[in-house]
Amino acid sequence: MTSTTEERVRIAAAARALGEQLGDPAWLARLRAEAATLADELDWPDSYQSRPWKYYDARSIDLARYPVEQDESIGVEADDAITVTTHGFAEGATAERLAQRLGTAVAPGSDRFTALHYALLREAVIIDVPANGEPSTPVRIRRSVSGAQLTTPHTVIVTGPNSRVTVVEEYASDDAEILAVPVAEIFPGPGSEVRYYVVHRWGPATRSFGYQRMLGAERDAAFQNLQLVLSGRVVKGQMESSLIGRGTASELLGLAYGRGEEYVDFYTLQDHIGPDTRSDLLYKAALRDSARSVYYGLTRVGVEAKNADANQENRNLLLSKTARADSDPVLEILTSNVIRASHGATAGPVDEEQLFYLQTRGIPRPVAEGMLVWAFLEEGIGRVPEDGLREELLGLLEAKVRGS
Amino acid sequence: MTTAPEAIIGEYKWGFYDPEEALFKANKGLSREIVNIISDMKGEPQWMREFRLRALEIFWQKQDPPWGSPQLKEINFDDIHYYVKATDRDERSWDDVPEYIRRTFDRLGIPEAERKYLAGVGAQYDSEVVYHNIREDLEKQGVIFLGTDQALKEHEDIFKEYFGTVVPPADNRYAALNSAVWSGGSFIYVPKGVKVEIPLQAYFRINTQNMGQFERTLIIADEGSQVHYVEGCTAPIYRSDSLHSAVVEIIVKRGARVRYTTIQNWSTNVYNLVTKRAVAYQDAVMEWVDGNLGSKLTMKYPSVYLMEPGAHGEILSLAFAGKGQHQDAGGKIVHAASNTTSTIISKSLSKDGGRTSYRGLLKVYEGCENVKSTVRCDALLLDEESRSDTYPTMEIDAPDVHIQHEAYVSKLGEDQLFYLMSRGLSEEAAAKMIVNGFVEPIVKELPMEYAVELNRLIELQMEGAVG
Repeated sequence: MTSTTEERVRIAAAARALGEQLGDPAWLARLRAEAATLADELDWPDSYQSRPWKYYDARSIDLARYPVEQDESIGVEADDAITVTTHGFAEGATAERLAQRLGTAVAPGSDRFTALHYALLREAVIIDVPANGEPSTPVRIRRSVSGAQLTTPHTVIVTGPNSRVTVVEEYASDDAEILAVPVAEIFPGPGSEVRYYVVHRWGPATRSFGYQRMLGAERDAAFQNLQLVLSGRVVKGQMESSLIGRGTASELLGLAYGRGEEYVDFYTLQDHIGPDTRSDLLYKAALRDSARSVYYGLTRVGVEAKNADANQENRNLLLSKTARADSDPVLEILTSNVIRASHGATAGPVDEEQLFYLQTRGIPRPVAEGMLVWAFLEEGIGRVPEDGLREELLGLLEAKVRGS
Repeated sequence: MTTAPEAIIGEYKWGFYDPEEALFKANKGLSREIVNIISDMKGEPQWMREFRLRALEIFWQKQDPPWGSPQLKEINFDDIHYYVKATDRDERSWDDVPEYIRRTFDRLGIPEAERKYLAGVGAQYDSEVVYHNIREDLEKQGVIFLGTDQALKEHEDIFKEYFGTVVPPADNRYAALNSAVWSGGSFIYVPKGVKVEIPLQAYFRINTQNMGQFERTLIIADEGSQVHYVEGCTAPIYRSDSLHSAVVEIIVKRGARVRYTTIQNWSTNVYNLVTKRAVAYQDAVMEWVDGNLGSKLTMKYPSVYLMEPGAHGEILSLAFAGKGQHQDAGGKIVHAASNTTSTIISKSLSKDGGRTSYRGLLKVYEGCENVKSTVRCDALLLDEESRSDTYPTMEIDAPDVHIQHEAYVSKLGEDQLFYLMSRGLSEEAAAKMIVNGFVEPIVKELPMEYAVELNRLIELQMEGAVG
C-alpha cells in the first residue's frame, strides 16, 4: 500500500517548511528533500517480505494522527572535555563533522520510518569526544516529549582515537498518542571505547520505532550498548553493529519488563565484516499480563571475518498465561575460519526447582518468585562496569518491577 | 521409443542411466489438459480429478516464499514432463519386473537388500510403482502397503478420509503442484495394535530426462500400532535440471508410533522441494530421521503437529552440502496440546563452497501447559568457502513451557586434528574420524544397511577435504 496523496503532500510540505524554519544549510536541505521523496515512495515495511516486521504490521499506523509540530524538551549534561551540541545544524567544526556523518550509519532509505525521520528531523545531539578524551562523568541526555506528535530524536556519537565515553540517554513521553522514530549513529575512533545506555520510559500511548547502528570502521574499538525498556505501548528497535575494523568488539544488551498490553520487539544484527572481531549479545524479557516480546537477531560472519567470535542469547521469562515470546536468533556463517559462532534461546516460567529450594529455606513462595524474577533481570544490567551507573539503572528497573 | 539421453558418467556414483523406454510420456508443461490426462490414464474417481484441478488453480496463484532460495527462480515449469508411465502393470514378483528396470535396481542393490532386510518393496521407477511385495505375515495382520495409485483404487474409503488432510493443497506452492500432478508414492495402513517389526522400504528414482517426480505418500498408523518406513533416493545425473516435489502425510493415532527415515541422495542437478508433515494424537510418537546428501537445492522441513496430550515429536536431521549444493533443511514442531514434548537435533556439514541452512519452527499455542522442547543445531564447516546458516523460529504463546535452543558453528578443529595425528593417523583419516563422530548421533538411529551406506557416502564426499 503506497502512501496516500494526502500524506504525501503533508510530509513534503512539512519537510520543506521545517527546513526553512530551521535555516537548513545546503547539505541538510538536500538530505531532507531526498528523505521526503523516499518517505513518499516507500511503503511501510511488509510483514511478509521483511523478516524483522513479521509480527508487527506497520500498515496499521495512521500518520494523520500524529502532527509533525513537535514539543520536546532536551536536557544534556556533559563534562567540559567533550563537545555536545543540540541544535547542531548551526555552524563551526562540529557542524562540519555532523555534515559528514549524519545519515551515513543509518541511511534515510533504510525504510519508510528512517525516511520520515530525516525528512522531519529537528535536532540532533552530537557528542564529539577528542582523541584520548576521557570525561569523568557520563554524558546524560534526557528527552521528554509531550502532546500528540511524530518525534524524531537523533543522537550522534563520534569519538577520537583512544578515547572513552559513557552516554546515558533517556526517552520519556506523556499519555498522548505519540509516534517516535529515534535514530542513533555511533562512530567509534580507533582504540576507543563507547558505552551507550538507553532507557525507554515512554508513555502508555507511545509507539517507538528506533534505529541504532554502530559503524565500527576503525581498529580495536569497543562498543557496549544497553536497551532498558521500562514502558511504552510499542517499543520496536533495530540495533546493528557493523564490525569492520580489525579487532573491533560489540556487546549488545537488552532488557525488557513488560506488562499490560506492552509490546517489545527487537531486531539485532551482529555483522562481522573484518578479521578478529568479537560480538556478544544478551536480550532478556520478563513478561506479565498480556505483554509480548519479539526477538529476531542475526549474527553474520562474512568471508573476510577471520577469527570471528560471536555469541547471541535470548532469554524469556513468561509470568502469566497470556504473555508471549517469539524468538529467532539466526546465524549466517560464510567462512569456517571462526573461533566461535553460537546462539541460544530459552522461554519458560520461573524454575520450579529453584522455587522449591528457596521455599525449603523458609522463604514464602511469592517472595521467592520475586527474587528469581529479579535475578533473571539483574543479569543484563550486571554487565555495566561503572558501579554508580549500574546501581542507578537497577534502581529504575526495581521501581518498575515493584510498581506492577 | 528409445533415445539415449546425454549423461555425465563417472562424477556421480549412481549416475548410470537406462535408455528411456517409457510407455507413455506426457508433453512438457503444465495445463488443465495435462492434469485431465493424468486423471484419465489412472482411471480416477471424479473427486480426485476435481481435487487435482483445484490444486492446479492454487499452484498458479501461489508464489515462492520470500525467504526461499534464489535458485527457485531457475525452475522452468514449462520444461518438465509431469507424467511418465513406465509400465502398464504393477508387478508383484521380482521376475516379472521388466529387464531394464531390474538392471537399474540391481545396481542399487535392492534385491540383495530385500533378501536381508526388507519386509516389502514399493520401488518407484519413474512415476509408477512397478514392483510390490509384501510379506505374507504382514498381509495377514491387515497391513496395507501399496503404491498410492493402487491404494486409491482398492481402498478408496480410507484413502479419501485422510488424503490431503495433513498437507492441504494451499499449504505452499509445491504442495499445490504435487496435489495437481501427483503420481506414485507409498500408501501404508497399519491396523490397531499391529506392530510392524521390520522396516518397510521404497526406493525412488528419477529416470526420464527433465521429468518431475511428484510422489505422494500417505501413512496411517491406527491406535497402538507401530511402523518404520524407510525411503532412500538416488537419481541418475542428466545435463538438464530435474524437479522432485513430493508430499508425505502421516497420521499417528492414539498410542501409535511411526518413524520415517529418509536418505536423500539425488544427483546434484535435482531441485528437491518436499512437504512432509505428521499429526500425532494422544501418547503417540512421531520420529523423522532425515538425511540430505544429494540434490542441487533441497528445501524440506519435516514437521510434527502434536495434537493431544502425551504426544511426542522428534526430528533428527543431517545435511551435507558439497560444491554447488544448498541444503535448506530443518524441522517444525507445533505444540497444540498440553503435556507434549519434542526434540530436534540437526547436524550439518558444508564443504567446497556448499551451503547448509537449518530452518525450523517451534510453536506453542496459547493454553498449552507443561510443554518441553529442546532444539540443538550443530554445524561443521570443512573449509573457508563453505557456509552455514541457522534460522530457528520460536513462537511461544504459553507460559508453562520449557524451551531451549542452542546452535554452534565450528570449523574442523585444529586441536582435534593435531591430537589424532599425534596418535599416528593421517590427516585425512583424522578428519574422517572427526566427521564420523560429529554425525554419529544421527547415523546410529538408522537401520544397519543405511548406516553403512551413509558412512560410505560421507566418506566419498569427504575425499580431498584436507590438504
